[in-house]
Amino acid sequence: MNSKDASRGERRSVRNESGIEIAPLYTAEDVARTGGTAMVGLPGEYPFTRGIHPLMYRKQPWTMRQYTGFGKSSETNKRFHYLIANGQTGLNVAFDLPTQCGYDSDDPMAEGEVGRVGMAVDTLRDFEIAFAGIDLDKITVSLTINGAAAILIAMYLAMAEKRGYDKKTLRGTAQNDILKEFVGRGTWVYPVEPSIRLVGDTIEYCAKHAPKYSPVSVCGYHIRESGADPAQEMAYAFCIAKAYADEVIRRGLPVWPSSSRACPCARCSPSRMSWSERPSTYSMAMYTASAVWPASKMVTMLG
Amino acid sequence: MSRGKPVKVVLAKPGLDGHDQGAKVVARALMDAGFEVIYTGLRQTPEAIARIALDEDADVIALSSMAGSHLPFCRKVKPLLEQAGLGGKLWIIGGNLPASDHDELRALGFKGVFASSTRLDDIINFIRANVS
Repeated sequence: MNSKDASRGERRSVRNESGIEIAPLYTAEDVARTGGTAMVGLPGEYPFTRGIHPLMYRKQPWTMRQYTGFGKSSETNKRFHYLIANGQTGLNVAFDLPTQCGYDSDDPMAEGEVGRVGMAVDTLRDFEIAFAGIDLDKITVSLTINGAAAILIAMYLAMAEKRGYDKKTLRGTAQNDILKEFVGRGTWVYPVEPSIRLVGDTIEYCAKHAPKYSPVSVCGYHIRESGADPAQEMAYAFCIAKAYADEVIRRGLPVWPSSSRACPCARCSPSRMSWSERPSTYSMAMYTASAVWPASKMVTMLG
Repeated sequence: MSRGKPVKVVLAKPGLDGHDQGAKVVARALMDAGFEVIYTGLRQTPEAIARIALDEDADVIALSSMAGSHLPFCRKVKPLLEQAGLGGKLWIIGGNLPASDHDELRALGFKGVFASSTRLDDIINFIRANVS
């Protein structure tokens, strides 16, 4: 491309992957048209467009968690210690498919799959071994588990309690987004209605007994990987988040504890702003997954 | 092809792997190419796949595996397909299949082995060239 073409290219509007037109330049006039500075606000304040904490990433950067888990819990424990020794600030646990689908390792359905795509968990002892020697106050743990999440959240809390941690102050996260499994990934255990009830049960339990624990991470990432464009991904994720919120509100819980979702950077601010329109919650914690198609595409674009 | 009826493909998702996007894309491509495709849905056992292939009188038995259990599964499904009298049918497999496993998959009877990023046309042409 010669310089003339390049300069013409810069003036042209482009469409992003969702088919939304992106202008070459945005000014204060665009901000005014979409609600003015009141809709942008300050970080830590409603509508949280600029983040949920006043100092956001200056105070605390993203927690870094490499998705990890394989074989036996003892092998996974070694890997956890290696990652922490090398600067990782949290853990994101991968479970094998039998664990994700609710099968014991010796079930005929589990043949060939035990410890394959993540750690095999059959009993509480597996959790005790996997997290041995890890300070659960310093290293927060994210459990990437959905259909069987209620059981594994219980195992995590039971393991922590046995080690003397107080559930009231224990932090951590479970993915526990079962509706996403129906839309995008296929690893559900129960049908839709009982799955929503299970998610509601875990939220209700944590709200009452482990209030610092995040029992659900609504996840658009798998929906994206299954063919949704970024706008569709957000739409599905918000619909799913609303379904869980409605279940919690139906039970009479006063506050939706927190919500987070996979979100490459350009979607964070609009997501936060949109979520703030729900009167029972307002603030939105985020996580972003970097893997496979969206990330490889991003790397291509940056490269 | 000099066949009187369309080639019938039973496309199965073996084991607990839930990643079915690839299988669905391949199913659509095979249908567009004129094949009749029966997609089994998720979490099929070796016994179920052999039974479905027999019941449907499949010309092609295709597996889609993304989560690394392809070798144990294929070792188990091979004798079941043979016992069902399906040894002469075309067996193929696609998905996350490390190159180091391709020889064993072929030795187990899977004549077509299609790793991720295989072109759809290559799968279609392979079936046309090899189906009996």
